[in-house]
Amino acid sequence: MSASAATHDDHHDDHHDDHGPAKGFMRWVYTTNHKDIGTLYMITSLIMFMIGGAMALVIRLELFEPGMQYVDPGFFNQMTTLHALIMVFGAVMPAFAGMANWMIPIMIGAPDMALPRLNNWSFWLLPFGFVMLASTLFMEGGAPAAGWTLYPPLVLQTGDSFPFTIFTIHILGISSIMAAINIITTVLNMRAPGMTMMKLPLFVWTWVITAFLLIAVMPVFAGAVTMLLTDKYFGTSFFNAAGGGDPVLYQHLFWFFGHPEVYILILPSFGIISQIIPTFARKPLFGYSSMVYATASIGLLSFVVWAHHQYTVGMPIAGELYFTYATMLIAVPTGVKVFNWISTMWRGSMTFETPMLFAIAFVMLFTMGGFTGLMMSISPADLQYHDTYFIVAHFHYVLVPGSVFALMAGTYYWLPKWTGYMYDERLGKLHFWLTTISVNVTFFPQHFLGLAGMPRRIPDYAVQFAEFNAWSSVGAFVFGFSQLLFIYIIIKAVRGGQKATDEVWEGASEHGLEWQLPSPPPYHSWITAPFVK
Amino acid sequence: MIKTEQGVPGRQHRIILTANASMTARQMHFFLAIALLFLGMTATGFVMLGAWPVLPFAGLEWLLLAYCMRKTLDRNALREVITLADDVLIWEQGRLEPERSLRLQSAWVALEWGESRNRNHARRLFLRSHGRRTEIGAFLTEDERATLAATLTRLLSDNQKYMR
Repeated sequence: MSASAATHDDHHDDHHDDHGPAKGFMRWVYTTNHKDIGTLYMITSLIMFMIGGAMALVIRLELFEPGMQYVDPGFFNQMTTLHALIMVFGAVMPAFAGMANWMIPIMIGAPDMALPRLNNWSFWLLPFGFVMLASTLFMEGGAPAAGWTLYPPLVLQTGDSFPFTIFTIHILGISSIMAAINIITTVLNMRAPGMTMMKLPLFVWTWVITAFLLIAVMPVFAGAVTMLLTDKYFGTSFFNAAGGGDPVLYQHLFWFFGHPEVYILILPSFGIISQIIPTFARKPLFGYSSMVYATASIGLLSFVVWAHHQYTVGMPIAGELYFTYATMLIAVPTGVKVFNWISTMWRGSMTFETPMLFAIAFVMLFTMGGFTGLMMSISPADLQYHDTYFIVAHFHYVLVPGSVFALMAGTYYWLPKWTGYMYDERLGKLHFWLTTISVNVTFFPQHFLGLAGMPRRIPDYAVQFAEFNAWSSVGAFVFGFSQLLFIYIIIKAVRGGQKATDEVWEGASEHGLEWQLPSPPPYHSWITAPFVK
Repeated sequence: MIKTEQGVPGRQHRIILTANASMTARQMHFFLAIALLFLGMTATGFVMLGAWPVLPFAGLEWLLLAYCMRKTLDRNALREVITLADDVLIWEQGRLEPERSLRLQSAWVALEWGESRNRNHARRLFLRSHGRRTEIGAFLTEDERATLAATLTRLLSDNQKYMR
């Protein structure tokens, strides 16, 4: 026998068996393991959720009664801006990226993400971005205060923090792009044999479409904020009318990014809910293919409706008509999804564990948020709603009982798989009821405030709005403090408890490959790809 | 994936093992073309409106996407080739060319199953000869490993009959 290169023998072939993670803090810095990085993303997003939530409570505290009580108007505006930036880029997007990291490889039978080192980078850029954004609070002139849209010329009045804000956006954008590329490459190339695109779990499908949206719109936003920077510091006039520019161009650029961004925040929620409902209804998902096509349609339509955010800047009637009808069209694929979820539950053998409760609340409350969106798509009516609390109520109904509820549902659904222990079901249900009641107490009165004419982004208001604002603030504080219970439930499950089975939920193994792995899964899972029939 | 080629019946066979990869080069090019079309249309539209800084960002992003997909496709090229010619079995592993290889006398080769690395993983398949063993087809699924073992056992047996 001759061997021309290194060969294994009896003593060596078991050398690099299933080794666990490295020890110590540096494990988390150098890790390229998709589960570690998923965990890092989710812990970061939870911290950001609490920070952004604390800012929301500052806002609601000031708005509890008319008059100026606790903060000055400048700081109030900084809070509204940072709350939005942190919740969108720091809490919701990283939380979905964390779930994608944890779940996509084990759902498609892949051993890891396609580009593990890129994955490490895309996470570790985030904390630097957030520290930089938070540091703007302590700079001359304070944090940015022009709202998350950063409209010029208002945003150009920001003090020293302006370039740091732009740099933060670039860093977070690079992180998102790298995560999106990784997810697309993983799903396209690393599916287990037999796992065709039309057998992909819905969570994976929705993430593929989300990743494509991210890739498509991020350069537009990067270009827009760079133009803001050059307008302020390098004498260009992209958005300066006095120099031949046009501030409305920024609005087009921003919303060409901003509207698909809304779907970036909601499509993975659709995926999570589409995983949970069939499990607890004990039925396959109704209309799988139509769900895939509906998601793709929503993604495509999101590129052609951006100017419905700009009706009040003035637009030709043909433009108003086009954007009105195009926006209304989105209700069709969204309706397909809602009816499919309901049809999945119809005559199912349903049980109501915490993930299912959150999923059902999602379907009901997201649909309400969708309906108010439909009201705003009508351009003449939008002239009344624009920049009022009706808008605040609408997008919070979409993002809190929408995205955040889906994240909570997903956390309860997969937490036993991640930790190996069941969470406390009694506390989970308590968390659900506190959260669901308080979220409605917070945001439902804001519809009335908006219809009565209360503008958004103001620290003081006329006394006629006092009662609804008081209710809204009470709801916000109950909602905020209820989330401490959520953190306690997670920590409790991480530390131990009732051991979770591999399947976790009755019959779940029929709904995905992840339930065929042990709970928790080995550090390296699916080293050998399964065959999907 | 297992592909078997035959030279002289009973004497020369080649088995080519490739790692699981769900993306082909054609699919990758198709996806990149769609991304280029989309980013190109968007960036061109905004350039025409005067927002030219969108263009370099879109271009850089597409290049990064193309680079990452290309790297992934290169990794798909890992393959093992087992050649059985007369009384010799040659095992080679590599991407564009063999990076590891092994030459064994086929009469002394035996196939051996080993324990999986851990629970839920497939059992491992080894070529054993003269007290040393080498794992083959580590990237195959359990079903594919079983097929490989059966095919190789049959070919080795045929080869022995022929050599006698």
